[in-house]
Amino acid sequence: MIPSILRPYRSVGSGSIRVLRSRTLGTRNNSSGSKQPAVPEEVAAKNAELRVLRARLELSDSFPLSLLSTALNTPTSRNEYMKNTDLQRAGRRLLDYRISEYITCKYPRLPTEAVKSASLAFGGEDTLTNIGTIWGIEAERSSGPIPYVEHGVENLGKLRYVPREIKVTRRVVKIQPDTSKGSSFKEAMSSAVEAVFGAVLMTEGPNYAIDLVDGHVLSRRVDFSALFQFSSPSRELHRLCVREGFVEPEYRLLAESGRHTVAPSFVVGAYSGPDKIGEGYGTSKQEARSRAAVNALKAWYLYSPKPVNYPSDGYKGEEYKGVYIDAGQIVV
Amino acid sequence: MRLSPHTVASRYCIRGVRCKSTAAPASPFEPSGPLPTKFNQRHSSKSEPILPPGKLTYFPSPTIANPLYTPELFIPGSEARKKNQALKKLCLQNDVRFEDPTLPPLLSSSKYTKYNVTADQVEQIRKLRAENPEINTVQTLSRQFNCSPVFISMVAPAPDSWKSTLEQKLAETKSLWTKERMLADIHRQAQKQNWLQDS
Repeated sequence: MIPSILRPYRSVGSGSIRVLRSRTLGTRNNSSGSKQPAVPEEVAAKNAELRVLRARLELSDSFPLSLLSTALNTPTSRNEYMKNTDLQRAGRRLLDYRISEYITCKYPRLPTEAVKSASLAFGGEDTLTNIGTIWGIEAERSSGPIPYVEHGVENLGKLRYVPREIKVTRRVVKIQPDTSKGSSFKEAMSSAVEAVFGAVLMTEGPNYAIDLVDGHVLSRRVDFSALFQFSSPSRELHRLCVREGFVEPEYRLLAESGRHTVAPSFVVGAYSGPDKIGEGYGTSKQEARSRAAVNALKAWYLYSPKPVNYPSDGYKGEEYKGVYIDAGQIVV
Repeated sequence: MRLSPHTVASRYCIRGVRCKSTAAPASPFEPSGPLPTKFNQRHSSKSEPILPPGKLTYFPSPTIANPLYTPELFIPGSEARKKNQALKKLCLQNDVRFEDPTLPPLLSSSKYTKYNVTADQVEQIRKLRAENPEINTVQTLSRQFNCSPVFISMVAPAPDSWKSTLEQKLAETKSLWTKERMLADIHRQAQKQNWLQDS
C-alpha cells in the first residue's frame, strides 16, 4: 500500500513522462494563465552541467534532463520556461514524510520539540542549501539590479532566481523595490533541491526516491543527544519512575577524587533499585547528581527499537510489522 | 633485523589487553607481567603491586556515559534483547528503602516519597504561608510537617507581594557587587545551564 502523498498521479515509466508533465505539471503551474513550456530535451541534452548533476545523483541515462533543468528554475526567475513549483511541492512532501517517519520510528520516545528540531536539522533550508552546494549546483550569474538572463544552453544547468538583495559594492547592498518578486539564495537553492527530489519521485517512483533521500539527507549526522534542555531533571526523572512503576531514583557516589582540594571531581550514578540508569560527573556532588539525572532522562528518550521498522518498508516488498508507540513525554 | 621490545610487544597485544614482555608470548592473550600502573619497582617496593585478577584483563578507559546506551530497565518487555524477560517492575512500599550492601554508598540520605501529609494539613500549610511568609518559610514548614521543601513550594507558593520584596532585596544586594563578583555569577549561571544539557 503506497501512502497517498507518495502516490504519483499515474504509474510513470520513461515513456509516460511527457503525458505526466503536460497534464499535471503544466496546467496548474502558471498563475497568469498562459502555458509555460518545458525546456526541450534536445536543448537540455547539450548542457554539460545537467549531465554532470544526473551522473552525480546516480540517476539512469534515461532520466530526462529537461525535468532536471525545470527543477533548477525557481518561481522568481525571469524566463519563459516552466517553473519548479509543482516539483518542489512533491519533493517537500516526500522529504517531510521520510524524515518524520525516520525520526519517529527510530527514536519513538523523542519529545515533540526535539522531533521538530531534528526535522529542521535534516530537511531545513540551511541543510538543503548545503546539499545543493555539495551536488555542485551553481547560481546563475547576475549583474546589476536586473540579473542578466540568457535563455541559451549555458544557464539551463544553473540555479535561476532573482535575488532579493544585490551587492552593489562590498558594503552597499541594494534591496529589490518589490521584495515579493525576489528570493534569497537559500530559498532558491533549497527549493531547487526539493524539486530534484520531486522530479526523481515522479519519474523513478517512491522506492528509488526514498533511497535517494536516505543517501543524501538522512545519512547526515545529527546529534540527537544535544537536542535536550531540561529545567528540573531530578524531578522529571522522579516523575518518570513513578509513572512507569520503577523504584524511585536514588543517587549513589561511584567515584571521587580530591574532595578537599581546589579541583575535586565526583562521579555519581542514578539508580532505580538495583539498576543503574544514568551516570554523571562534575566538580561538585550537586553537578554530578544533576548530570546523572540528565543522562538517565536522555537514555530514556533516546531509546531506539532494534530492528527499526518503517511504514515505507511495506511497499519495498518487506512485511510491515508495526512500530513501537510510546506513552508520551513526562509532565512535571 | 632486530625489532625493539616495544614493537614486539605491540605486535602481540590487542587493544585493551596489555602484556609487558619483550619476548613474544606463546599466546597473544597471555600477559606475562604486572599491568603498567604507577607502581614503581624502587620507590613503591613496600606497597603491594596491583595485579590482574586473571590472565585476560579488559582495561577500558574511563569515559563519559553515553546516552545512546539504553539501560535494560528502559527497554520495553516486548523486545528480544531484554535479557531478563521476567524482570518485573519493582513496586516497593513507600517507607521501605531498597537496600543492597554491594551497591555504592548513597550520595545523601534521600528518602522515598512518603505521602504522609493530609488534605487538612495542606490547607494549614497554605494558611500559614499566606499569613506570614517571612516566618513560615519553605524550610520551616517542611521541617514542621515532615515533608520535602519542594512539596511546600508546590502546594503553597509565596504570595506575590513577598516574592517582589525578595526580588527587590536581591537586586539591592546585586547592586553592591563588584564587576568580578557579577561576572562570576554570570559564569556560574552559564555553567548550570551546561549541567542541565549535560554538555
